[in-house]
Amino acid sequence: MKDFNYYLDSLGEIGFVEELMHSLIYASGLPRVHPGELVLFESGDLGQVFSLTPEKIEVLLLTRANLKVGSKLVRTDTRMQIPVGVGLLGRVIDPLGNPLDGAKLTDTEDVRTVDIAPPKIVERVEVQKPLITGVTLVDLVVPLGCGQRELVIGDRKTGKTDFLLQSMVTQAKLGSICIYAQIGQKQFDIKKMSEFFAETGIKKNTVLVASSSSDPAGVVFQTPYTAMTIAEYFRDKGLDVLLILDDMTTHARNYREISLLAKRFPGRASYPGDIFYVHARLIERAGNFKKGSITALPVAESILGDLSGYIQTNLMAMTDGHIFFDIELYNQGKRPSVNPFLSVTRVGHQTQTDLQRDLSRELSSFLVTYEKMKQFMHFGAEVGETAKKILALGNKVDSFFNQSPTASIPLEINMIILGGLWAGVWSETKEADLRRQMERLVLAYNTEGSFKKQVDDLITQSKSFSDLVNFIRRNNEFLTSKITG
Amino acid sequence: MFDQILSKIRTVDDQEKILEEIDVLLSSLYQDKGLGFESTLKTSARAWLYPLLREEFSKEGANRRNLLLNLKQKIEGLSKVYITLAFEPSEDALNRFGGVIRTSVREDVIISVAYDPHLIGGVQIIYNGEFRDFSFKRIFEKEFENTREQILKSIKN
Amino acid sequence: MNQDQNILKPQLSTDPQSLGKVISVRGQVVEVEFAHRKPAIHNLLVLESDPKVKLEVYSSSGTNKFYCLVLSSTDSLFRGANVVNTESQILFPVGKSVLGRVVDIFGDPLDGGGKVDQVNAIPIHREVKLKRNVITKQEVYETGIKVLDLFAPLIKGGKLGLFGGAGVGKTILLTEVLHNIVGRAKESSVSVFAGIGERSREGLELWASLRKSSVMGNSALIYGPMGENPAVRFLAADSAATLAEYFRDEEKKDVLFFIDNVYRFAQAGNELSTLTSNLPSEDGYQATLESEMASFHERLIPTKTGVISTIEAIYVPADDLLDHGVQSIFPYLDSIVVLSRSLYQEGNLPAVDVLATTSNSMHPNLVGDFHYESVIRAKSILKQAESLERIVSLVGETELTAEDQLVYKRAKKIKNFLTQSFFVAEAQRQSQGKFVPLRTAVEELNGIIEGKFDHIPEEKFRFIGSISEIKVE
Repeated sequence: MKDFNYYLDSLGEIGFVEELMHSLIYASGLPRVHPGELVLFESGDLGQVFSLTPEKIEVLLLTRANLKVGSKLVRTDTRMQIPVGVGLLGRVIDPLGNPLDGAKLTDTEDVRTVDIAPPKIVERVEVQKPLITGVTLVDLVVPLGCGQRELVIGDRKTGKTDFLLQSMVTQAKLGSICIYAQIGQKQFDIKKMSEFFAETGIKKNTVLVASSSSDPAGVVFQTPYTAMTIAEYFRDKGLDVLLILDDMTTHARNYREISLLAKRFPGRASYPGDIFYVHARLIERAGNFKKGSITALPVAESILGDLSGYIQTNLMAMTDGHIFFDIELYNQGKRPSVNPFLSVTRVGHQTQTDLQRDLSRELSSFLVTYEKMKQFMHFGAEVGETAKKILALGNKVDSFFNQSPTASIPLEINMIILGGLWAGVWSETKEADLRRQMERLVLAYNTEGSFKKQVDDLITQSKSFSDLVNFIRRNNEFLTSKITG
Repeated sequence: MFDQILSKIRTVDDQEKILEEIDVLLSSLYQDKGLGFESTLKTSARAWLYPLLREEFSKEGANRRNLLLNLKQKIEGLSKVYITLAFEPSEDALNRFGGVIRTSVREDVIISVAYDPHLIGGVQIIYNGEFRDFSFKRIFEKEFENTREQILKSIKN
Repeated sequence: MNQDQNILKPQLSTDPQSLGKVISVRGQVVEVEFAHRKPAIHNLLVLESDPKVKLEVYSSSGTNKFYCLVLSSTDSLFRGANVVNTESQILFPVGKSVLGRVVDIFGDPLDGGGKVDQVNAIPIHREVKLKRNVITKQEVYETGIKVLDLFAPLIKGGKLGLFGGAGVGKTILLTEVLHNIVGRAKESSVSVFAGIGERSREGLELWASLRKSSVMGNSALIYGPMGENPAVRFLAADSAATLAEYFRDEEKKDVLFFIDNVYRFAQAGNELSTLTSNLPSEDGYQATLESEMASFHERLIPTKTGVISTIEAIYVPADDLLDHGVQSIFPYLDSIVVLSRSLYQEGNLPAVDVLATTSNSMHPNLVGDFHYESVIRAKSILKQAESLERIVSLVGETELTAEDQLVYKRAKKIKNFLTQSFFVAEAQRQSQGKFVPLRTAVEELNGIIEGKFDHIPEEKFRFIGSISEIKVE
């Protein structure tokens, strides 16, 4: 970005601020300015052209400007662009591409336009590879694939962020690039997030694009688009990218504010008519492509567990499924509080191996039975043997799913443990010891090469879940030795 | 009548003053049972404006209010050219200047003049959002950019 | 591109009389002023400096001024830009050359293949002056999907609507219908699929699935996915209808017309109208919603030469069936199938709410007495079970009277019987798809009602094809 006088001189057009309306200003002049073009004020502030009318241009402010009627502005003949390159890894930037963590940006080999059309179907490929999050409940019951767009939805404070961070850590350690977009969040949270990346050692695989709630509306609006642009850069390098957009309901409210100020007619819930398009053209840029993949996890807040809100259903209509964080389950102490019955994955199962799919199905159907059994208990009726067994196993499965927000558990060991549960390895174990024993197994898997090989081999050899369970039933020493030893 | 009046308005200053006068006339239309207008016209309208208006009002079926409102609208709608000079020109120079602009741009533009000594000489023109810089300042800056290296070198030595 | 060549005819590009000037830009809507020769509504305009930028005239916005929809990016527009009137409409190529292809609203390829032959390109907007041909002998298209064939059979020449909120299975149900009917259709039928405002991933998967089952050769896919600007999504409906009409009128074929998703057509129209100064109507929709729906649907009628049978998926925003956009589609449908979120969450797929599903074709003259009676009785059982549901949730099934228990159990069996595995979901569910002939479905439904299967536990009825598959121990 050059300076004011440069543009004044080379483009020869000038404009004057006529009206000021919070984040929108109206200016006269600049006869040949394009919609979406960036304009520069004499004060150094930046704006983006929103609409053009015969007399005035409508400009969305991108900096906290202190403008007056009569302030001068010039065209820049550029669209919103950001620098991209490997130099972004480990950095915190704002949606305009400015670093927020001190030093200047280095190693940015290219500049990309932020608002582009989504790729056509010719560039796309069906979702094939699984995306492991390290969160047991998700990986086994609502599995995700690379290139999937999965909505993460739930009330405030139901553990969504913990889940997202766990997924990031797992994926970063597997070599994916992770991009986190904080849209209009608190400044304090932005700092915390950046520190988290440093502490968990995944900083060099992550980029944080952040806007705070006190930033101008135009800047908050750009946040997810900037993040997507960076994701596309890394995808084009042949990498798998995980993109988290936190959160889209805030983004929708921000766009509503801008639209109402611009006097666009309000539609349902006072959102502008094009709110769907604003989000769709963003979400459609994620997916599985010939060059690489962008897995998007947009976040939406629900209110009192209502999944039928306008923005929420809009986002569900764009994504390939949703993971529902249930406040009821959260209050019951379940962590993560994912509701397996109300969560959906539309393309996750096709990425699973036959064994995984078999296991998923068995587990899902068990959960339904378990749930029914629990309802049945309310009648205080006599509980038969089968029911007792289901309830006992169900309890243990609950423990199995309860996971600390910092743990990232590999899928293979999860499958073995589940097999063990089905095989009755823990049928006599007390609940208090159960979790600890499972964790010991996870530790053994992560640290002992020989045990890991045993587990991995068993997985490869088992053709179905019942195969796996039967094997464990017959040879459970390889597990029990690790628990007690 | 309109064209004659419009052609006499040269600067934004002129425009503002004439608009004020028209406003006074408009508000006096119904004072003193309609008799106040004649006297106000004599006292408030400026020398060259008075006879032109008088002539128009005495015509058959002349509606004073509408005529004044139409005139006001036309005057408000005049295009403006903003000129920034390095020094204050004389009345004569200004008129000549205005004439040049009128012939090269449009007949019915009015000029607004500002002064900025930093320009050193020459003029900056803004019209319809178009900006043209013919100042000495710009010429010097361009020169300086071209010969920057040499100048810096010579200063060091 | 052929269309560009048409535009650069000498008399158009240099004739100042047909030039217009851009005077305002708001989103995808541009106001253009024409001082001399005025354009007609639906005329295609191009930017003089860049003929790739296309606009379509939408309505007047004042004397000499017109609202126009920008069909590409607005990036290169500016006030005062010259616009040339091509004096023709958007043209869409029709004919056999489009079959087997995936194209956009202009007929340009999206499947990476060569250009589609533009020789027979016709305007996409039509004055609907056709007389509807009342078909005396009505035929049913068997879909092989039990719940549809039983409760909302698809009539040749009729319109079937699949209503549902986000993520309840509309697209998959539509795709299964397409797969089953088109796969079995004879040479005399052709299918046109309009993908309006839906996911590109689904467009890709549909194309792959059609190629895999070798039915792509008789189909044309026209896509205006959700990532496209509203003008393109809005016009996708007209382009697709133009192709369908052509096959009906000129090639005299029976056309199967699939739309996913008609609601997005209404929504696109809404997005565009908020940018013109029209006052909004109910629920914030455009005042012209009803006429837009009418002019689109009235093109898809049976005529003397052929029929267009329409199956449309309709998105229900925020699960609100009373939404005005959704309601505006009802009048044109013969069969209304409603998908419910609670059924979906219970795992009853397809999640069709039978009691909310209605159909004009449910008439003894059309489906026969046996079918008709069975449906009436089935619905009655389901209705009764619904009222018993509350009691059951409070005190349990065993507290019902013997009679009520029987009704309740049979209702559960019916509900389970209506669940079905889809061919197109095989990759996801790892269970084989099933096609159930109508005859079998009616007989077996009747069997459940009559109590012929009272001895079989209700879980056995889930996701089977025909009851004959159940092995009774």
